[in-house]
Amino acid sequence: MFKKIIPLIDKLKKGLFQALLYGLLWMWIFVLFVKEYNPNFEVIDNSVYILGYFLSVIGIYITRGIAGMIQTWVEEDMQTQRN
Amino acid sequence: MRKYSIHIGIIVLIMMILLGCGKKVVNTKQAGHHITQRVVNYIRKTTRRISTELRKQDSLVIEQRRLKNEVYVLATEPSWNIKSYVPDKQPFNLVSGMVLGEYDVNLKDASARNPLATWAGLNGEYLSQVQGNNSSAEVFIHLGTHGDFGRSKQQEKIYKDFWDNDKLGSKLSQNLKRVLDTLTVTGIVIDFENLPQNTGKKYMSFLEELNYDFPNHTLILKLPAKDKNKNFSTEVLTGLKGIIDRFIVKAYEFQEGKSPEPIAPISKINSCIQGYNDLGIPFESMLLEIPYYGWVWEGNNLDEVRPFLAHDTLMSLSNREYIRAETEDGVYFEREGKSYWFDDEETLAKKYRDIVLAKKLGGIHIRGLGYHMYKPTSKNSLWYPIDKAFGLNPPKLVYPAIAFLLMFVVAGIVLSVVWYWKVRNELAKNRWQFAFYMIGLILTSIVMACCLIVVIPPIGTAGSSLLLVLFPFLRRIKSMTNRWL
Repeated sequence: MFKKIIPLIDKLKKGLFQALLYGLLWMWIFVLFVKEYNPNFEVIDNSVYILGYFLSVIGIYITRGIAGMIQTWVEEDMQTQRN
Repeated sequence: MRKYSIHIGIIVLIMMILLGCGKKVVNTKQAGHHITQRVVNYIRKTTRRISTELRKQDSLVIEQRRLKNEVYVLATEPSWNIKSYVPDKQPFNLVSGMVLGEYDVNLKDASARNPLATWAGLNGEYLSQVQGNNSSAEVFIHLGTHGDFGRSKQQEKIYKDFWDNDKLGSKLSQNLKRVLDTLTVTGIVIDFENLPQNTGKKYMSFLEELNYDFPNHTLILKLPAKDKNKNFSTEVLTGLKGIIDRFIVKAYEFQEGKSPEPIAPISKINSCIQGYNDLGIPFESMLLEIPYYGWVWEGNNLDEVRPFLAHDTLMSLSNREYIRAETEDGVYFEREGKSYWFDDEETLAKKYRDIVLAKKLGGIHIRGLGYHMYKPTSKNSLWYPIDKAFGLNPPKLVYPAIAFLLMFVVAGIVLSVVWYWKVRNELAKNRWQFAFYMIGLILTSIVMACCLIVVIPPIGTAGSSLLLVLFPFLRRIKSMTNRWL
């Protein structure tokens, strides 16, 4: 179990610092977007910041993951064509 | 161990979050458990709070709610209610405009018949309460007569003398100007009752003069439930376009002295507003008048002593034990040979839903707002149907959250081309892969736009017009989701 988790964490660790740092910027954008677009969200307490930060960090990994996934597909496709 | 420290840290964090999602940790009274327990409980609390925030639609209490922009809720507070007003009672935030004070015209000399009623709006406590709850609330004054000036036969002559006498008209304007300036009133609600036959055109020219004298004030005209004397023809109502901003349609008390029935039956309201619409008044400029009182019947006649009773009085008399009419547009109860008919929160909700919202009317006009006082502890209030029908529903936070995550998906698709040369090469060479790539990008963008369109309130729709033009089907999705929300 632990052996399976470690490679996953290694991947996560790769961009962890960047994700945590850029997450702050995206969190600010999320909160700004939510509050600017609909003033009714003003009543929401500080948990919206935690939610924004959580979504931002996850989102940064999603961007990285999607881009990496497309690259892998392309590489596999090229490999198949060569064979 | 140092090598795996970050791994252990992340695993501990994930475990704490998972634990936090579970049941509350009880105090085990064991050494070292106290801090862990507090941390886990804090995480649990935050996770629960975020989850609630994502799902909840509206956490605002009625005193903090706002009205939709497209609906206008006008309320008239009779002068005798203003005097006895108890502050901090009514949620004026759900009112767009208030009619305070009545200029009851003396048709013989254009003065006010009851100066105290005219200056009732000067009650600073009431006005500050209204504007404190709702800074954008407009203030109106009621101008008109009750049609009870002089004997019934003389009524026609008195009216005609008033319309024909220019001096009286200018005197009325002068008096009115003084009142409007002192009270800083934004508009006038005009209601001359029991107009004699064929005086519609004279009434129209009087309204034109009033518009000429007060060009910066909003003019609202009240129309009778039944135009017995045929004063409001298509010609008259078409001529009033550009002069009158809104029309109040008195859609109750359709019959007198026939048999007991709901004070405002839905079928009669529908035919009344349809009749005025056929004469040329658009639905969106109509305000449906709702009485906050009911009527009392003795046999087949209206009670001679007290034909009308305030809503709160009727509720306390009935002890909330009343029968709903089969048509569901009124409730009644019987006491000592008299039957009392009025509206409760459910019948009003039905009228707002089936008439005002279904026909897309401009809004409502509440007659006698103070006849029902809001009690925060009560589960039943006439304010709730207003809030439910015309209140602004903030969207759930889950939609912008999904849109936000989808934005990262779109970014990932785009950045794969920017970051990796192999992807660029392959897309340039293989057009099928390019087509597949573009379809994926467009579909994800559409889903993201759908999530975004839901969160945009009506006030922000103007800014998203380009989006709605590009994807016209989003309008339908927006209206559908607004209904679900």
